[in-house]
Amino acid sequence: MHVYLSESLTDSSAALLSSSLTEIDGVNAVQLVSKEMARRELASLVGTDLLIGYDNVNPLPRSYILGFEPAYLTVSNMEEIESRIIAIPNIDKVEYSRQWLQKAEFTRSIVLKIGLVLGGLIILTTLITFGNSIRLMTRARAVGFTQMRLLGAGRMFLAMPFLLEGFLMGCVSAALGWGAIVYFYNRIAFRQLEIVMPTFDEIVLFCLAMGALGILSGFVGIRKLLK
Amino acid sequence: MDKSPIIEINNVYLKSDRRNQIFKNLDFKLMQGRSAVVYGPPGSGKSSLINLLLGLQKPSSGSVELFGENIGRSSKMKLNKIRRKIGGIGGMFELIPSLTVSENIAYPLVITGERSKVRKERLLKMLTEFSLIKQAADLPEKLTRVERTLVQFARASIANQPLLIIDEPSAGLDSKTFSRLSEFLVRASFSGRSMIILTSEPGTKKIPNSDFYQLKGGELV
Repeated sequence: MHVYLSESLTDSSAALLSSSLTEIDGVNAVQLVSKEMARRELASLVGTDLLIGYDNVNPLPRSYILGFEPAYLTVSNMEEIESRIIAIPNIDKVEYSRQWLQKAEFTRSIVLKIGLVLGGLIILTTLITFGNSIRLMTRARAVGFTQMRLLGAGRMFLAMPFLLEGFLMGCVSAALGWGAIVYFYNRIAFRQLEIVMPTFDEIVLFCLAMGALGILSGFVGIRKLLK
Repeated sequence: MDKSPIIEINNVYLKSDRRNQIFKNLDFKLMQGRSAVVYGPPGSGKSSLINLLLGLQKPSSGSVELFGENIGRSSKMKLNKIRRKIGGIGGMFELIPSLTVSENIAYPLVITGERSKVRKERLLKMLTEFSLIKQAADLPEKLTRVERTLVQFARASIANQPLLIIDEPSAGLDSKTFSRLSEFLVRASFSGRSMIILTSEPGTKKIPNSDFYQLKGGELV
Protein backbone atom coordinates (compact mmCIF):
# COMPACT_ATOMS: atom_id res chain seq x y z
CA MET A 1 0.00 0.00 0.00
CA HIS A 2 1.37 3.40 -0.95
CA VAL A 3 0.61 6.33 1.38
CA TYR A 4 1.43 9.69 -0.27
CA LEU A 5 2.32 12.61 1.95
CA SER A 6 1.37 16.28 1.34
CA GLU A 7 4.03 18.72 0.11
CA SER A 8 3.50 21.01 3.12
CA LEU A 9 4.70 18.34 5.56
CA THR A 10 8.25 18.87 6.78
CA ASP A 11 10.75 16.00 6.57
CA SER A 12 10.95 15.72 10.37
CA SER A 13 7.15 15.50 10.69
CA ALA A 14 7.06 12.94 7.87
CA ALA A 15 9.47 10.75 9.80
CA LEU A 16 7.21 10.96 12.87
CA LEU A 17 4.26 9.61 10.87
CA SER A 18 6.05 6.28 10.67
CA SER A 19 5.09 5.36 14.26
CA SER A 20 1.40 6.20 13.64
CA LEU A 21 1.39 3.92 10.61
CA THR A 22 3.21 1.10 12.41
CA GLU A 23 0.53 1.06 15.12
CA ILE A 24 -2.20 0.16 12.63
CA ASP A 25 -3.32 -3.47 13.05
CA GLY A 26 -1.87 -5.77 10.43
CA VAL A 27 0.96 -3.48 9.32
CA ASN A 28 4.26 -5.33 9.57
CA ALA A 29 6.54 -3.10 7.47
CA VAL A 30 6.80 0.63 6.96
CA GLN A 31 9.27 2.09 4.49
CA LEU A 32 9.71 5.78 3.74
CA VAL A 33 10.32 6.69 0.10
CA SER A 34 11.85 10.15 -0.09
CA LYS A 35 11.52 12.43 -3.11
CA GLU A 36 15.04 11.46 -4.20
CA MET A 37 14.34 7.75 -3.91
CA ALA A 38 11.12 8.24 -5.90
CA ARG A 39 13.02 10.01 -8.64
CA ARG A 40 15.65 7.22 -8.76
CA GLU A 41 12.95 4.60 -8.99
CA LEU A 42 11.16 6.49 -11.75
CA ALA A 43 14.45 6.89 -13.61
CA SER A 44 15.06 3.19 -13.38
CA LEU A 45 11.61 2.57 -14.83
CA VAL A 46 11.41 5.16 -17.64
CA GLY A 47 15.07 6.07 -18.20
CA THR A 48 16.90 9.31 -17.46
CA ASP A 49 16.08 10.97 -20.83
CA LEU A 50 12.52 11.76 -19.84
CA LEU A 51 13.71 13.45 -16.66
CA ILE A 52 15.92 16.01 -18.40
CA GLY A 53 14.94 19.46 -17.22
CA TYR A 54 13.87 18.23 -13.84
CA ASP A 55 17.32 18.32 -12.29
CA ASN A 56 16.43 21.08 -9.85
CA VAL A 57 12.70 20.42 -9.58
CA ASN A 58 11.26 17.19 -8.19
CA PRO A 59 7.45 17.02 -8.39
CA LEU A 60 7.31 13.50 -7.05
CA PRO A 61 5.71 13.23 -3.58
CA ARG A 62 7.17 11.55 -0.56
CA SER A 63 5.42 8.33 0.39
CA TYR A 64 5.35 5.38 2.71
CA ILE A 65 5.14 1.80 1.49
CA LEU A 66 3.25 -0.37 3.95
CA GLY A 67 3.59 -4.13 4.21
CA PHE A 68 0.85 -6.31 5.75
CA GLU A 69 0.56 -9.63 7.47
CA PRO A 70 -0.94 -12.19 5.03
CA ALA A 71 -4.05 -12.70 7.18
CA TYR A 72 -4.94 -8.99 6.74
CA LEU A 73 -4.79 -9.05 2.97
CA THR A 74 -8.51 -8.87 2.28
CA VAL A 75 -10.51 -6.18 0.51
CA SER A 76 -12.56 -5.34 3.60
CA ASN A 77 -9.44 -5.02 5.80
CA MET A 78 -7.69 -2.85 3.24
CA GLU A 79 -10.74 -0.56 2.94
CA GLU A 80 -10.82 -0.15 6.70
CA ILE A 81 -7.08 0.57 6.88
CA GLU A 82 -7.34 3.00 3.98
CA SER A 83 -10.08 4.99 5.74
CA ARG A 84 -8.01 5.13 8.94
CA ILE A 85 -4.89 6.34 7.12
CA ILE A 86 -6.68 8.96 5.03
CA ALA A 87 -8.04 10.43 8.27
CA ILE A 88 -4.49 11.19 9.44
CA PRO A 89 -3.57 14.87 8.74
CA ASN A 90 -1.13 15.63 5.89
CA ILE A 91 -1.89 12.39 4.02
CA ASP A 92 -2.75 13.20 0.43
CA LYS A 93 -3.64 9.88 -1.09
CA VAL A 94 -3.66 6.15 -0.38
CA GLU A 95 -3.24 3.63 -3.19
CA TYR A 96 -3.24 -0.13 -3.28
CA SER A 97 -4.00 -2.81 -5.87
CA ARG A 98 -7.65 -3.15 -5.01
CA GLN A 99 -8.61 -5.01 -8.21
CA TRP A 100 -5.74 -7.44 -7.89
CA LEU A 101 -6.68 -8.06 -4.29
CA GLN A 102 -10.31 -8.71 -5.26
CA LYS A 103 -9.24 -11.20 -7.91
CA ALA A 104 -6.85 -12.93 -5.51
CA GLU A 105 -9.55 -13.13 -2.88
CA PHE A 106 -12.02 -14.57 -5.38
CA THR A 107 -9.48 -17.12 -6.64
CA ARG A 108 -8.61 -18.06 -3.07
CA SER A 109 -12.25 -18.68 -2.18
CA ILE A 110 -12.76 -20.81 -5.34
CA VAL A 111 -9.64 -22.87 -4.57
CA LEU A 112 -10.82 -23.27 -0.98
CA LYS A 113 -14.27 -24.47 -2.10
CA ILE A 114 -12.79 -26.92 -4.63
CA GLY A 115 -10.40 -28.11 -1.93
CA LEU A 116 -13.26 -28.66 0.51
CA VAL A 117 -15.30 -30.61 -2.05
CA LEU A 118 -12.27 -32.70 -3.05
CA GLY A 119 -11.40 -33.25 0.61
CA GLY A 120 -14.97 -34.35 1.32
CA LEU A 121 -14.92 -36.75 -1.63
CA ILE A 122 -11.57 -38.20 -0.55
CA ILE A 123 -12.83 -38.69 3.00
CA LEU A 124 -16.01 -40.35 1.72
CA THR A 125 -14.03 -42.61 -0.62
CA THR A 126 -11.64 -43.53 2.18
CA LEU A 127 -14.54 -44.30 4.48
CA ILE A 128 -16.23 -46.54 1.90
CA THR A 129 -13.01 -48.28 0.80
CA PHE A 130 -11.73 -49.00 4.32
CA GLY A 131 -15.23 -49.93 5.50
CA ASN A 132 -15.70 -52.38 2.62
CA SER A 133 -12.31 -54.01 3.00
CA ILE A 134 -12.96 -54.49 6.73
CA ARG A 135 -16.47 -55.83 5.99
CA LEU A 136 -14.95 -58.37 3.58
CA MET A 137 -12.52 -59.44 6.26
CA THR A 138 -15.32 -59.91 8.79
CA ARG A 139 -17.30 -61.99 6.30
CA ALA A 140 -14.31 -64.21 5.64
CA ARG A 141 -14.05 -64.82 9.37
CA ALA A 142 -17.79 -65.18 10.04
CA VAL A 143 -17.55 -68.80 11.26
CA GLY A 144 -14.83 -67.83 13.67
CA PHE A 145 -16.93 -64.97 15.06
CA THR A 146 -19.83 -67.29 15.84
CA GLN A 147 -17.49 -69.54 17.81
CA MET A 148 -15.85 -66.62 19.56
CA ARG A 149 -19.26 -65.35 20.68
CA LEU A 150 -20.24 -68.82 21.90
CA LEU A 151 -17.09 -68.81 24.00
CA GLY A 152 -18.17 -65.50 25.54
CA ALA A 153 -16.22 -62.94 23.55
CA GLY A 154 -17.86 -59.52 23.89
CA ARG A 155 -18.63 -57.17 21.03
CA MET A 156 -15.77 -54.79 21.79
CA PHE A 157 -13.37 -57.71 22.17
CA LEU A 158 -14.30 -58.84 18.65
CA ALA A 159 -14.37 -55.35 17.22
CA MET A 160 -11.06 -54.12 18.63
CA PRO A 161 -8.75 -55.79 16.05
CA PHE A 162 -10.79 -54.32 13.21
CA LEU A 163 -10.84 -50.86 14.74
CA LEU A 164 -7.07 -51.06 15.21
CA GLU A 165 -6.72 -52.30 11.64
CA GLY A 166 -8.73 -49.30 10.43
CA PHE A 167 -6.58 -46.96 12.53
CA LEU A 168 -3.36 -48.42 11.12
CA MET A 169 -4.68 -48.36 7.55
CA GLY A 170 -5.59 -44.69 7.94
CA CYS A 171 -2.33 -43.67 9.62
CA VAL A 172 -0.01 -45.64 7.37
CA SER A 173 -1.69 -44.58 4.12
CA ALA A 174 -1.63 -40.92 5.20
CA ALA A 175 2.03 -41.20 6.25
CA LEU A 176 2.96 -42.86 2.94
CA GLY A 177 1.10 -40.16 1.04
CA TRP A 178 2.93 -37.40 2.88
CA GLY A 179 6.20 -39.29 2.45
CA ALA A 180 5.70 -39.26 -1.31
CA ILE A 181 4.74 -35.57 -1.34
CA VAL A 182 7.77 -34.56 0.74
CA TYR A 183 10.07 -36.73 -1.43
CA PHE A 184 8.87 -35.17 -4.69
CA TYR A 185 8.80 -31.68 -3.16
CA ASN A 186 12.49 -32.03 -2.37
CA ARG A 187 13.34 -33.52 -5.78
CA ILE A 188 11.42 -31.17 -8.06
CA ALA A 189 12.11 -27.41 -8.21
CA PHE A 190 8.94 -25.34 -8.45
CA ARG A 191 9.71 -21.98 -10.06
CA GLN A 192 6.27 -20.80 -11.09
CA LEU A 193 4.44 -21.36 -7.86
CA GLU A 194 5.27 -21.44 -4.24
CA ILE A 195 4.07 -24.51 -2.38
CA VAL A 196 3.52 -24.00 1.32
CA MET A 197 4.41 -27.23 3.11
CA PRO A 198 2.78 -27.97 6.48
CA THR A 199 4.96 -28.38 9.54
CA PHE A 200 5.90 -31.83 10.86
CA ASP A 201 3.40 -31.46 13.72
CA GLU A 202 0.63 -30.66 11.27
CA ILE A 203 1.50 -33.74 9.19
CA VAL A 204 1.44 -35.93 12.33
CA LEU A 205 -1.92 -34.44 13.27
CA PHE A 206 -3.22 -35.14 9.78
CA CYS A 207 -2.04 -38.78 9.98
CA LEU A 208 -3.77 -39.17 13.36
CA ALA A 209 -6.95 -37.65 11.94
CA MET A 210 -6.79 -40.18 9.12
CA GLY A 211 -6.30 -42.87 11.76
CA ALA A 212 -9.49 -41.68 13.46
CA LEU A 213 -11.21 -41.85 10.08
CA GLY A 214 -9.89 -45.43 9.78
CA ILE A 215 -11.46 -46.28 13.16
CA LEU A 216 -14.75 -44.85 11.91
CA SER A 217 -14.42 -46.96 8.74
CA GLY A 218 -13.68 -50.01 10.88
CA PHE A 219 -16.82 -49.33 12.85
CA VAL A 220 -18.83 -48.99 9.62
CA GLY A 221 -17.34 -52.28 8.39
CA ILE A 222 -18.22 -54.27 11.50
CA ARG A 223 -21.48 -52.65 12.53
CA LYS A 224 -23.46 -55.71 11.40
CA LEU A 225 -21.18 -57.92 13.44
CA LEU A 226 -21.82 -55.80 16.51
CA LYS A 227 -25.60 -56.15 16.30
CA MET B 1 -22.15 -77.64 51.72
CA ASP B 2 -25.27 -76.43 49.89
CA LYS B 3 -25.10 -76.90 46.18
CA SER B 4 -27.01 -74.51 43.98
CA PRO B 5 -28.45 -75.42 40.60
CA ILE B 6 -26.22 -74.63 37.63
CA ILE B 7 -29.04 -75.07 35.13
CA GLU B 8 -32.68 -74.54 35.93
CA ILE B 9 -35.25 -74.80 33.16
CA ASN B 10 -38.81 -74.06 34.24
CA ASN B 11 -41.92 -74.79 32.23
CA VAL B 12 -40.32 -73.93 28.89
CA TYR B 13 -42.28 -73.93 25.67
CA LEU B 14 -40.40 -73.50 22.41
CA LYS B 15 -41.63 -73.42 18.85
CA SER B 16 -39.53 -73.75 15.70
CA ASP B 17 -39.51 -71.27 12.86
CA ARG B 18 -42.11 -73.43 11.16
CA ARG B 19 -44.32 -73.15 14.26
CA ASN B 20 -43.70 -76.78 15.24
CA GLN B 21 -43.67 -77.38 18.99
CA ILE B 22 -40.14 -78.39 20.00
CA PHE B 23 -40.52 -78.24 23.79
CA LYS B 24 -43.64 -78.18 25.89
CA ASN B 25 -43.58 -77.80 29.61
CA LEU B 26 -39.87 -78.61 29.74
CA ASP B 27 -38.51 -78.78 33.28
CA PHE B 28 -34.92 -79.60 34.08
CA LYS B 29 -32.54 -78.94 36.92
CA LEU B 30 -28.82 -79.68 37.10
CA MET B 31 -27.14 -79.22 40.44
CA GLN B 32 -23.55 -78.11 40.83
CA GLY B 33 -21.20 -81.08 40.54
CA ARG B 34 -23.85 -83.31 38.98
CA SER B 35 -24.04 -84.33 35.34
CA ALA B 36 -26.80 -85.28 32.95
CA VAL B 37 -26.78 -87.56 29.94
CA VAL B 38 -29.60 -86.52 27.64
CA TYR B 39 -30.54 -89.10 25.04
CA GLY B 40 -32.70 -88.24 22.06
CA PRO B 41 -32.91 -89.43 18.47
CA PRO B 42 -32.11 -86.97 15.68
CA GLY B 43 -34.76 -84.24 15.51
CA SER B 44 -35.81 -84.64 19.13
CA GLY B 45 -34.58 -81.14 20.08
CA LYS B 46 -31.04 -81.69 21.40
CA SER B 47 -29.63 -78.80 19.35
CA SER B 48 -32.52 -76.59 20.44
CA LEU B 49 -31.71 -77.45 24.05
CA ILE B 50 -28.11 -76.31 23.49
CA ASN B 51 -29.37 -73.15 21.80
CA LEU B 52 -31.55 -72.43 24.83
CA LEU B 53 -28.66 -72.99 27.22
CA LEU B 54 -26.36 -70.70 25.24
CA GLY B 55 -28.99 -67.99 24.90
CA LEU B 56 -29.13 -68.37 21.12
CA GLN B 57 -32.85 -69.05 21.21
CA LYS B 58 -35.40 -67.62 23.60
CA PRO B 59 -38.28 -69.76 24.85
CA SER B 60 -41.85 -68.87 23.85
CA SER B 61 -42.63 -69.04 27.56
CA GLY B 62 -40.95 -70.22 30.75
CA SER B 63 -37.45 -69.45 31.96
CA VAL B 64 -33.92 -70.76 31.49
CA GLU B 65 -31.52 -69.98 34.31
CA LEU B 66 -27.80 -70.62 34.22
CA PHE B 67 -25.67 -69.94 37.29
CA GLY B 68 -28.71 -68.25 38.84
CA GLU B 69 -29.19 -65.80 35.93
CA ASN B 70 -32.28 -65.83 33.76
CA ILE B 71 -30.55 -65.78 30.40
CA GLY B 72 -33.69 -64.68 28.56
CA ARG B 73 -33.55 -61.42 30.49
CA SER B 74 -29.78 -61.02 30.70
CA SER B 75 -27.96 -58.21 28.95
CA LYS B 76 -25.49 -59.13 26.24
CA MET B 77 -22.64 -58.42 28.61
CA LYS B 78 -24.04 -60.78 31.25
CA LEU B 79 -24.74 -63.41 28.63
CA ASN B 80 -21.09 -63.23 27.55
CA LYS B 81 -20.01 -63.70 31.16
CA ILE B 82 -22.26 -66.75 31.47
CA ARG B 83 -20.91 -68.22 28.23
CA ARG B 84 -17.37 -67.88 29.57
CA LYS B 85 -18.32 -70.37 32.29
CA ILE B 86 -19.34 -72.96 29.71
CA GLY B 87 -17.00 -75.31 27.88
CA GLY B 88 -18.40 -76.74 24.69
CA ILE B 89 -17.46 -79.90 22.83
CA GLY B 90 -19.01 -81.36 19.69
CA GLY B 91 -20.95 -80.34 16.61
CA MET B 92 -21.95 -76.80 17.45
CA PHE B 93 -18.65 -75.89 19.10
CA GLU B 94 -16.45 -75.77 16.02
CA LEU B 95 -12.89 -74.51 16.19
CA ILE B 96 -12.05 -70.98 15.05
CA PRO B 97 -10.68 -71.53 11.52
CA SER B 98 -8.32 -68.54 11.47
CA LEU B 99 -6.57 -69.50 14.72
CA THR B 100 -3.95 -72.20 15.26
CA VAL B 101 -4.50 -75.15 17.58
CA SER B 102 -2.65 -73.36 20.40
CA GLU B 103 -4.62 -70.16 19.90
CA ASN B 104 -7.90 -72.08 19.79
CA ILE B 105 -7.13 -73.89 23.02
CA ALA B 106 -5.99 -70.74 24.81
CA TYR B 107 -8.91 -68.61 23.55
CA PRO B 108 -11.12 -68.95 26.67
CA LEU B 109 -8.20 -67.60 28.74
CA VAL B 110 -7.64 -64.74 26.29
CA ILE B 111 -11.28 -63.67 26.64
CA THR B 112 -11.09 -63.70 30.42
CA GLY B 113 -7.89 -61.64 30.30
CA GLU B 114 -5.66 -64.25 31.93
CA ARG B 115 -2.00 -63.32 32.22
CA SER B 116 0.28 -64.48 29.41
CA LYS B 117 2.47 -66.56 31.73
CA VAL B 118 -0.52 -68.47 33.14
CA ARG B 119 -1.90 -68.94 29.63
CA LYS B 120 1.35 -70.45 28.41
CA GLU B 121 1.62 -72.79 31.39
CA ARG B 122 -1.92 -74.08 31.05
CA LEU B 123 -1.64 -74.34 27.28
CA LEU B 124 1.46 -76.49 27.56
CA LYS B 125 -0.34 -78.71 30.06
CA MET B 126 -3.33 -79.13 27.72
CA LEU B 127 -1.17 -79.76 24.65
CA THR B 128 0.70 -82.46 26.57
CA GLU B 129 -2.41 -84.01 28.13
CA PHE B 130 -4.21 -84.30 24.79
CA SER B 131 -1.06 -85.20 22.77
CA LEU B 132 -1.34 -82.14 20.54
CA ILE B 133 2.22 -80.78 20.79
CA LYS B 134 3.01 -81.62 17.16
CA GLN B 135 -0.17 -79.93 15.91
CA ALA B 136 0.20 -76.82 18.09
CA ALA B 137 0.98 -74.47 15.20
CA ASP B 138 -1.46 -76.02 12.70
CA LEU B 139 -4.71 -74.47 11.58
CA PRO B 140 -7.87 -76.55 12.16
CA GLU B 141 -8.22 -77.32 8.43
CA LYS B 142 -5.08 -79.44 8.66
CA LEU B 143 -6.40 -81.58 11.50
CA THR B 144 -8.19 -84.91 11.35
CA ARG B 145 -11.66 -85.28 12.87
CA VAL B 146 -10.19 -86.96 15.95
CA GLU B 147 -7.60 -84.23 16.40
CA ARG B 148 -10.26 -81.54 16.13
CA THR B 149 -12.29 -83.24 18.87
CA LEU B 150 -9.16 -83.44 21.04
CA VAL B 151 -8.61 -79.70 20.55
CA GLN B 152 -12.23 -79.06 21.57
CA PHE B 153 -11.70 -81.09 24.73
CA ALA B 154 -8.50 -79.21 25.49
CA ARG B 155 -10.25 -75.87 24.92
CA ALA B 156 -13.11 -76.91 27.18
CA SER B 157 -10.64 -77.84 29.92
CA ILE B 158 -8.08 -75.06 29.89
CA ALA B 159 -10.20 -72.53 31.82
CA ASN B 160 -11.72 -75.20 34.05
CA GLN B 161 -15.22 -73.93 33.26
CA PRO B 162 -17.79 -75.19 35.78
CA LEU B 163 -20.18 -76.43 33.08
CA LEU B 164 -19.42 -78.57 30.05
CA ILE B 165 -21.90 -79.05 27.21
CA ILE B 166 -21.00 -82.02 25.11
CA ASP B 167 -22.85 -82.58 21.87
CA GLU B 168 -22.57 -86.14 20.52
CA PRO B 169 -19.28 -87.06 22.20
CA SER B 170 -18.72 -90.24 20.22
CA ALA B 171 -19.47 -88.84 16.75
CA GLY B 172 -16.74 -89.76 14.28
CA LEU B 173 -14.37 -91.11 16.92
CA ASP B 174 -12.66 -94.49 16.92
CA SER B 175 -13.19 -96.64 19.97
CA LYS B 176 -9.67 -96.01 21.32
CA THR B 177 -10.05 -92.21 21.22
CA PHE B 178 -13.59 -92.38 22.56
CA SER B 179 -12.44 -94.50 25.47
CA ARG B 180 -9.66 -92.01 26.19
CA LEU B 181 -12.07 -89.07 26.10
CA SER B 182 -14.56 -90.92 28.26
CA GLU B 183 -11.82 -91.15 30.89
CA PHE B 184 -11.47 -87.40 30.61
CA LEU B 185 -15.21 -86.98 31.20
CA VAL B 186 -15.05 -89.25 34.23
CA ARG B 187 -12.11 -87.26 35.63
CA ALA B 188 -13.96 -83.98 34.96
CA SER B 189 -16.98 -85.31 36.79
CA PHE B 190 -14.91 -86.37 39.80
CA SER B 191 -13.28 -82.92 39.86
CA GLY B 192 -16.70 -81.36 40.50
CA ARG B 193 -17.48 -79.99 37.05
CA SER B 194 -21.03 -80.33 35.84
CA MET B 195 -21.71 -81.77 32.43
CA ILE B 196 -24.64 -82.08 30.15
CA ILE B 197 -24.02 -84.69 27.50
CA LEU B 198 -26.39 -84.84 24.57
CA THR B 199 -26.30 -88.03 22.58
CA SER B 200 -28.30 -89.97 20.05
CA GLU B 201 -26.60 -93.23 21.04
CA PRO B 202 -28.49 -94.94 23.83
CA GLY B 203 -25.43 -96.93 24.93
CA THR B 204 -23.35 -93.91 25.97
CA LYS B 205 -21.03 -94.79 28.81
CA LYS B 206 -22.33 -93.91 32.25
CA ILE B 207 -20.67 -90.92 33.84
CA PRO B 208 -20.27 -90.78 37.65
CA ASN B 209 -22.62 -88.43 39.55
CA SER B 210 -24.93 -88.31 36.57
CA ASP B 211 -28.58 -88.80 35.76
CA PHE B 212 -29.99 -90.14 32.56
CA TYR B 213 -32.76 -88.32 30.68
CA GLN B 214 -34.59 -88.89 27.45
CA LEU B 215 -35.99 -86.19 25.19
CA LYS B 216 -39.40 -87.44 24.23
CA GLY B 217 -42.33 -85.49 22.79
CA GLY B 218 -40.77 -82.17 23.73
CA GLU B 219 -40.20 -83.13 27.37
CA LEU B 220 -37.30 -84.50 29.37
CA VAL B 221 -38.27 -87.76 31.01
